[in-house]
Amino acid sequence: MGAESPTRKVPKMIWLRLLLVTLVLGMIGAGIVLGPQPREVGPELPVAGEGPYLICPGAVAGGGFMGRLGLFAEDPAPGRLTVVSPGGASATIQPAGLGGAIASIGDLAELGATPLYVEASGQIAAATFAGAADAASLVGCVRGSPGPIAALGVATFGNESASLHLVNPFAHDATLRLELVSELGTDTPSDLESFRLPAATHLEIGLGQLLTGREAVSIEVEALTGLVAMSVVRAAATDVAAVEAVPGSLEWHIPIFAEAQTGQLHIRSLSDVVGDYRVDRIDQSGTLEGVAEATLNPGEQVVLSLADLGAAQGGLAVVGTEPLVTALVIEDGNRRAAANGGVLASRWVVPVSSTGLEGQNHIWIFNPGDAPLVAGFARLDGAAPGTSLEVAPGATVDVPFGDIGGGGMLVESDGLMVVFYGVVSGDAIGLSVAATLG
Amino acid sequence: MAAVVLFTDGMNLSETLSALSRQVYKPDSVLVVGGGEAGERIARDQGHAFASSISRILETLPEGSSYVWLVHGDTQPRPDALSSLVTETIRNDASVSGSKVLVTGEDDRLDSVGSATDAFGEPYSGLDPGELDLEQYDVVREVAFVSPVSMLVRKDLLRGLRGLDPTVPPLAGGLDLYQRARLAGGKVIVVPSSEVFHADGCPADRRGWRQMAGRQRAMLIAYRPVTLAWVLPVGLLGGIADAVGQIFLGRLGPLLDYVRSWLWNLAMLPGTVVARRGLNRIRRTGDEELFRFQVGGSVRLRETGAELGERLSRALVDGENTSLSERARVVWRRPSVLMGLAALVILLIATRAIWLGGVPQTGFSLIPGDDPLATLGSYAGGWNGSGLGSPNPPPPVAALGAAATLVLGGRAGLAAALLTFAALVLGFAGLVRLTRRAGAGLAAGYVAGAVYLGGAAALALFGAGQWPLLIAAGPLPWALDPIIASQPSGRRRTMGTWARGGLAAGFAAAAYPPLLAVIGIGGVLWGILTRRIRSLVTTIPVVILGGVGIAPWVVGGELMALLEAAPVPEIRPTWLWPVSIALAMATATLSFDRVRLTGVAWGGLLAGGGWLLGLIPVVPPGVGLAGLLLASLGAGLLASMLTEVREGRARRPIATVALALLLTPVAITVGQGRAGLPADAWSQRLAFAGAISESADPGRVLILGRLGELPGGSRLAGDVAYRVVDGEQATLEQAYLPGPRVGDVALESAVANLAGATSLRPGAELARFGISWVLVLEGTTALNDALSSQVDLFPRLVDPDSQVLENVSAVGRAVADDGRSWIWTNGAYEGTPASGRVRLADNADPGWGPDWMAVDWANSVAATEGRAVFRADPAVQTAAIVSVAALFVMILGSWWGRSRPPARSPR
Repeated sequence: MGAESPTRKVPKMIWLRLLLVTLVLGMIGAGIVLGPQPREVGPELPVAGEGPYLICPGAVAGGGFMGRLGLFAEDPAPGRLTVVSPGGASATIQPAGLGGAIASIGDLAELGATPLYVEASGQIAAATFAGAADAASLVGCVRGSPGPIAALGVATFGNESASLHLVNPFAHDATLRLELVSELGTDTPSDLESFRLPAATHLEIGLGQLLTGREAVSIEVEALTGLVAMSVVRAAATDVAAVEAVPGSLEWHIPIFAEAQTGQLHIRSLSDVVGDYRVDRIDQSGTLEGVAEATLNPGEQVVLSLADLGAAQGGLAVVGTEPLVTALVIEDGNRRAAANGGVLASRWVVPVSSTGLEGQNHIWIFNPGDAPLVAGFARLDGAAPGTSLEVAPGATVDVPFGDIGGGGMLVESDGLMVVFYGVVSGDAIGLSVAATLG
Repeated sequence: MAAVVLFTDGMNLSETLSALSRQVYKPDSVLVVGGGEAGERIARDQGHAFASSISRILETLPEGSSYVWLVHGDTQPRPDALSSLVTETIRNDASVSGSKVLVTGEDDRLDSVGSATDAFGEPYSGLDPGELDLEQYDVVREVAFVSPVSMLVRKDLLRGLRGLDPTVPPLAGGLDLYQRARLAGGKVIVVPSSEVFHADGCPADRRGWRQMAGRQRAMLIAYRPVTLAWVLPVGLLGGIADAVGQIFLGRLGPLLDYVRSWLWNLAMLPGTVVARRGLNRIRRTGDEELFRFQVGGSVRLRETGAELGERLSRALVDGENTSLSERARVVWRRPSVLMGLAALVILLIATRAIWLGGVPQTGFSLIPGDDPLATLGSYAGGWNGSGLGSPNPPPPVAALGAAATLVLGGRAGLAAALLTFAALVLGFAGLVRLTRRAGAGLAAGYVAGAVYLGGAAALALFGAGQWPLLIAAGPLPWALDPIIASQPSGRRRTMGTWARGGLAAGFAAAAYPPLLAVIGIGGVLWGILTRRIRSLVTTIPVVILGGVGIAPWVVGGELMALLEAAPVPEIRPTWLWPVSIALAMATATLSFDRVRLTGVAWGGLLAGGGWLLGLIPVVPPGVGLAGLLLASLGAGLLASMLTEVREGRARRPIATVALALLLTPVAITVGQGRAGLPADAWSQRLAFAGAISESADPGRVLILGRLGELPGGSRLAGDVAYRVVDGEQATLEQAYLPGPRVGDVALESAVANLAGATSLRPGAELARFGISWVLVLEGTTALNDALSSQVDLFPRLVDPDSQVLENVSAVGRAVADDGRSWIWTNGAYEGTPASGRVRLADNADPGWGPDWMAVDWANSVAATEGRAVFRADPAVQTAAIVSVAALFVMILGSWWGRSRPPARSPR
């Protein structure tokens, strides 16, 4: 049974042996051809989308302010409001009619600045209103963002004061980088350059102590980890202005209406590179391009007087070669208001149309196109039939209305437009851009 | 001088009395002791005195005598035996002296010429079995023990010591007497010039529990407390080890004797205490005097070890029928044993990390849970708690692990380590045996074992965490062995062979059921190659019996879930396997005669075909895994053949290269020290759940990561693998996920929702599955965006390599209407009895109760009894009983039908 004799040159059963070798080599060859089995993959995972929630960083209740939240939710399922704090109070909110609902923030908590987040189903839009005797502000609710986002239009000179509200309702801490810019240039207090915002918390930073005597301050925030929402509040003797931080865009539109004529246009670059901007004035006589244009360095801001731009009616379009944020800031005596620029859309929601204040609610519709459009209005609570009106090319139409209670208004048209809304009550004015619907 | 003849039935007393009468130095009187009426009659007939029992010797002996000569009733002393004893006793001032004992009828065969004992009283003569008397021991000397067959005792000492202990048999009684005599200051000597012949197989010398008990009693009486403090526990452990060793030798009796002997001693304890007091009164020396004549270690353990070694040697080298007479002396000098020892050392080195840190927890290499009874219950038809649960039993490896844990008193880590090591030893030995059957030499067999367990295929397989296949590698060659062995003659041996093969196949299948098919393929292939119908015939009962061994899983298990549990790992580098097998085949095929060519063909076809199985897309991965193990076995066989290529200018170098290629991965396996398993990844990774959780039940953990990184099986969503693990440890019974059920579909949707960030509160959705924690492994980037925009999965900084998220919305696996959580324990949910219902976050199944109803995909049962139980499947229960019964039948059948070696001399 040992090895065969070394003298034997050809082993016995050579054909059998060759067959055997061929068989095994065939198996090996087949294995090589087949190669390893492809890696298994399961059903495709959805990419993280825009979940049905919004953060309301400018919500206020208490401290002399009455706060309301207006909600539009496409899906009539009950939604939920939750105050941003560990174990924050929570309440349900039930959309009705076309999907509108309004809630008193004070029913949840009265913390002064009381940021909250709202969960609902389907497409949603929301905004918060804060009002007192001679003060009013409207702030849109936004999604958490890694940034960069920016809020413009606060000041700390004279009797003006400003505060910054950073909100992280999420379960993960956020690491934030802030950049404040004023007329003096980059003006970030070293303590605020980078810091951690813990999960489920809200941070209010008063800017009066840190930056005094600034006429125009804009704040950019970027979340290096996590997500954040931000709003800024500017307070004058009586009235307040508040605006939410938004991401940059290459094109913004701003309606000009009676209350805005004394206002200013704030523009800030959100880019890391140098870019150009151009302001076009649009009215019923047509578009006048380049009423203002210049180069913007990274993070640079400019403040332009509407009067200097000759904007008395119609609206403005701001176009940049790099992402910009713009805001319409109103300083008129004691009145203060601020609103971000809007993008063009055909479906808009005005979430808050019931402020409880004496005075007039307004919706301003700006048609920057060169054709007339017909805008239809419908109360979200479905309490009255819808109406419509025509908006001429280059015109801004002011639609005043009283406190209609319940939910807000749905504004739809056959063309692209920009919708702002606000409340004017004595020396108080609140202003915001309406929310677009896809 | 008085002679005392100890008589029991079956002895030829007349011849002894006649021999006494022929003594040169005649005893003054002769006293016959014992034997009842027969003894009394013979004594009376021959004019001798009679005492009914040994306890009555002292009162019966005449006053004048100074010495007492105690002889067995089947002893024939030479005429000068007594005179030599007396002369040397007086000359040496001894208290006790014994004769040289030769076997009656075999003039020169030595039976005893004095001996040492071990500390536990076991005599150690040092004589080789059958050793002839060449006067090589003819020196008068002090010893610990002389044969009580013929001993002379000073009468005053005998009186002082209160005689022989009547409660124990003569051998043990002798030991007791010598120890007490020595402690009283006496000397015990052997007098070789005093020769007596003694019948082989004397009833008084028989081993048994009484002898054992007597030695233990002698020990208890003689030793001081400080000695007993170590002798007793060491002796107990040694005795247990010996008894276990005897079980491996197929003898259950010693274990029973051992237990019986200690029970007897327990009952006799008062008498023992009295005897100790009596000895203390006359004690002159310490225990050191006894130690002088003792050997180290345990004589019994040494003997058992020698016999086990000899059996092992015979198992590896079948047909080498060495006699037991040689074993103690030569067994450890055999090449097979020495090589076996070397292999054992290498295996120890190759598993050193396991001994130091336990079996690595990774892939399917998971330790059994801490509730083995619940796991066994689950295997026997209870609720399978893996994943979101299933009424189908877990794969049998869970039961195997649980059974081992149960045997080891709940020490799951030790159970896993011992199973691993046992599998390696068994697999190694099994392959050595297989290769021998295939015609290779012993050394070649060891090469085969190394390649089988540490080669490229094994490394790929075990390196993918396929611990069940490592366990299966142990019995697999033993399951194939009866198939390729020469067919036994006779029904009994045939049945024994089937039982042995079925048992091995059963254990292999218990570790990894698809191996049953592989055993069938291997057997059929062997039958075809050798053209032996009986091999084919043997394959059938082996596979069937193996299947019966895992009957619960065969009846209720989910084959496809098991087969698709894990992908087939790739052998790396990719060229290694094809090249090494091709070279090996090309060389070996042309090098051997017909007999070994069959082995080469079998090995080559297994190595090539097994590997190919894992690459064919339509073949389920589980079959591919089993094929890869078979391929490893085939490669081992080929490697063994390559070592014996002795000729050919080209063939030898090619064979060397092929062998080197096959053996290189073995060095990696040994070097890593984990038996080829990957590094530990999960042993402590989920411990946070228990440590942080404020609830008694840490809840389930949802693990998300890349395929192959999770413990045990997983499901895929895109390229993200996920699974739930219960509690703070991924355990063996959870390794294999049952087939997807309605809850698993819902979980898949929840994971998709989590990834899609469709809700700000994914934790609330996961809470419905009892998920309290989410563990996102490093590199799972697909979920980063989603996880950053949610409000109820809070990160915890407990794992530097992954994200641990605590679900603040978690409510537990089972929640009653009153909001209280129920706890999963002992295979059921328990909580506070209440009037409402309780929701169980397990896949809906009507087997739950009381008063079951489905709620979505989950279960709802009445909370009134405070316990929610799953009604076991009667078919699976019956199968479990059948499989246990079959297991015992196969064990008994293996023993009953075993190949019997030539008769051995009794222990």
